[in-house]
Amino acid sequence: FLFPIKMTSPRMIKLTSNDDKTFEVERDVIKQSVTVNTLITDLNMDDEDVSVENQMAIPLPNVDAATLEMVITWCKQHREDPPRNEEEEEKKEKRTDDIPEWDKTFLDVEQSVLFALILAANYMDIKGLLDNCCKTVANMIKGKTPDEIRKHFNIKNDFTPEEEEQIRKENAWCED
Amino acid sequence: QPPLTLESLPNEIIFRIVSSLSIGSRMIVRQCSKTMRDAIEKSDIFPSHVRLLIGQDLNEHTDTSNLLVDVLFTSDSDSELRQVSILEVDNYYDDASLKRFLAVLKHSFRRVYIDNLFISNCFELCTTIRAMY
Repeated sequence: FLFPIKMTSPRMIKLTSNDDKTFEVERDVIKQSVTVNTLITDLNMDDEDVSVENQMAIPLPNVDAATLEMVITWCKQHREDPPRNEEEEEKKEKRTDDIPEWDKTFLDVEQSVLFALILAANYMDIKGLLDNCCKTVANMIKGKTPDEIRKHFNIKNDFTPEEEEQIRKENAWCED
Repeated sequence: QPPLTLESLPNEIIFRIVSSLSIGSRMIVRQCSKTMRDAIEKSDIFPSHVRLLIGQDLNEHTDTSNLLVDVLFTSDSDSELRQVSILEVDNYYDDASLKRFLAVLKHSFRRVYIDNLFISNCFELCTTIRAMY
């Protein structure tokens, strides 16, 4: 006998950006966001009897639609990643040369987009995304002089000449 | 809304970015602007004192010796050693850069501890370094 196999569609969750755009995303994908995950659990949204149409959308007041779309794309790409052990991550030597190739390409965007992604990852508590974004910025800083960093990040030098001289003296040992 | 910039990020994010950089790079970032300086100095990633471990590395191939200075940076809020930098100084007896390095360390940090001077044949240098502090 052949029994019909019940095909269950993946559980979907609705997220709304601060510019009122709603995204439907697989539960399994968005579990990487600790913030969203906690809300889903606290609001009992894992109830299988509630269809996605009748489900409340989770508002994300600090994230715009364009950024949320990027966050969801990143989470889809990393859905199979093993869960992070934050204690172990803290103990690890900090390095910036271990960003996966896919992320390097994905994060090769304008600075304002990258910074928006950092804020979204921080707010949504997605440590893997936050880490790789921060390492990307750190790599932009590495090997540059103060002037080059100012130019790259459009930072205004607001030191007085005396303050600048003082801080330059303090830093003399780490310059060539 | 003005476009997001590095300086406009919350301090916790700036710490996170800068904490993956070497101490030298952190200090260079600190030199960029008052905002960056204040953000870094308020964090526990900015070292307020250093410990020096000084040793000698004999190079068997070239029959020369380098002085290795392991600089362990620590912060006020956390006594755990955060990072180790290794400065290799060739021909240390003649190299003024080591003394310059140590002098600037003295100027830059509130406290400098010399932990371990375990080189048997550079007593003279060890005495000089101790005298500086």
